[in-house]
Amino acid sequence: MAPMEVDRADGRTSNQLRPLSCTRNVLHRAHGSARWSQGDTIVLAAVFGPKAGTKKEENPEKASIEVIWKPKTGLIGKVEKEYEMILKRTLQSVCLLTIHPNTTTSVIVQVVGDDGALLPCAINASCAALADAGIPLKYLAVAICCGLTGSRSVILDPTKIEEKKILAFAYLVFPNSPISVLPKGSLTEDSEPIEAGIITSVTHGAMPVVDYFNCLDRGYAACAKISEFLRRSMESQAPSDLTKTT
Amino acid sequence: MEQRLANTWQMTVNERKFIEMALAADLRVDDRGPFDYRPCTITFGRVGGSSEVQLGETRVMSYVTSQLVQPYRDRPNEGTLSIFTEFSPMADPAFEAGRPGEFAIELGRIVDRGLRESGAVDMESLCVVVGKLVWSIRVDLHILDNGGNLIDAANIAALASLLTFRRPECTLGGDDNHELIIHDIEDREPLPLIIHHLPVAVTFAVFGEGNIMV
Repeated sequence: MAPMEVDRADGRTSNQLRPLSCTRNVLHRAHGSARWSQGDTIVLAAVFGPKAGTKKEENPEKASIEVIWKPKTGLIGKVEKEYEMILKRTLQSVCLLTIHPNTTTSVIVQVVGDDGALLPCAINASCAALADAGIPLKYLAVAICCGLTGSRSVILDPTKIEEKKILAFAYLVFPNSPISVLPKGSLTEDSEPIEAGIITSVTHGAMPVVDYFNCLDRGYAACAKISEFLRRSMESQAPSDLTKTT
Repeated sequence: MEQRLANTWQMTVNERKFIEMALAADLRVDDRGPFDYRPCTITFGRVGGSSEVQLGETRVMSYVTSQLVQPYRDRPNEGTLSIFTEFSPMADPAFEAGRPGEFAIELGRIVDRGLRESGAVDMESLCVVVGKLVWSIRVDLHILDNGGNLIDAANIAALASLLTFRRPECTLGGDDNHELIIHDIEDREPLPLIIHHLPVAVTFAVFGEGNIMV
């Protein structure tokens, strides 16, 4: 089925992302910090760690990751706990947990602005902050939100107004690997990819399986663009990191 | 619990002595004079009511929201103002997530009293229907980076966001003039809060036996 061009409120095409911006080393006390913005959705992530000791339920033979999600206003409710859990599982598959056993790395996420695609923005910010802190990672994770409109076409990076109108949407997290493509790996949540694959997939609403695979294709292509942006922004700030002493 | 304490930074005797000796010569640790402020930057969000203040290394973000509620019984014609302080663990590893500690509550109270008791924000203009509906203004202060002097930075952030906050206009209409219509941002321009004056907080620290003050 030929994809139809959708009219979006801010004039973007269905494949176009909002302007991305990433600043690292924003905070002074935190070991690593990053501020990631996609349009009006802005998230500030800070990383502390590794600290000694793990909580009781965690496995002491591996490093554990603790995520604290701070909403812009209001008390912490179930939605925030859900985001914390998804973010924690995603970051656990991204970090090398065997290097520092029996330690806790804390990731604190503060929502500065929310205009749709909040969780992918938070995942991107957390990965940039982890890289800024120097936590050993297997690869970086790149997240994107794909929405399915009523006319069965896929739009990327919806705003809050668009999120309310679309049928269903999916948050997809792919690894930032230079070795691309080949057939995609397994599609279950939190699987360990080898070369290409998907780390996390969270869907809201009902969408037909064909459209889900369509979303995956589009999302994967767009993630290549985001990983390119992430790599460029890290390379441009790298020389100053060498002179910074911890 | 001990793990948290082990992660906080303790000052050494050398550092303490250095600070005191430098102050005796009117020198501060970061080369300021005793009464100098650090450079202050205030940035505003795109939507009214949000501001971020950076005072040297300290960073505080403030966000204002409004809601229609029932007024208090003893003040039926006044709106309410409430300040919520969030000491985010990203500001300092010693801050715990969840329940605010003593200092967080104290900071919230200082900013709150400064705004409320001085009458800075006009409460009576927030009344919509006497005894039934008033606007409740909620200020959320998020401490992002603890570089000292949180009270001053938080106060500036709260003032900045209150000054840029716009509340939607609402009128009484409908058939019997009792129906409340809250106008959308596109229909009618949102209104700013009426602020009479700006209470500014200045923090002094006293060293030695009350001999030295910065």
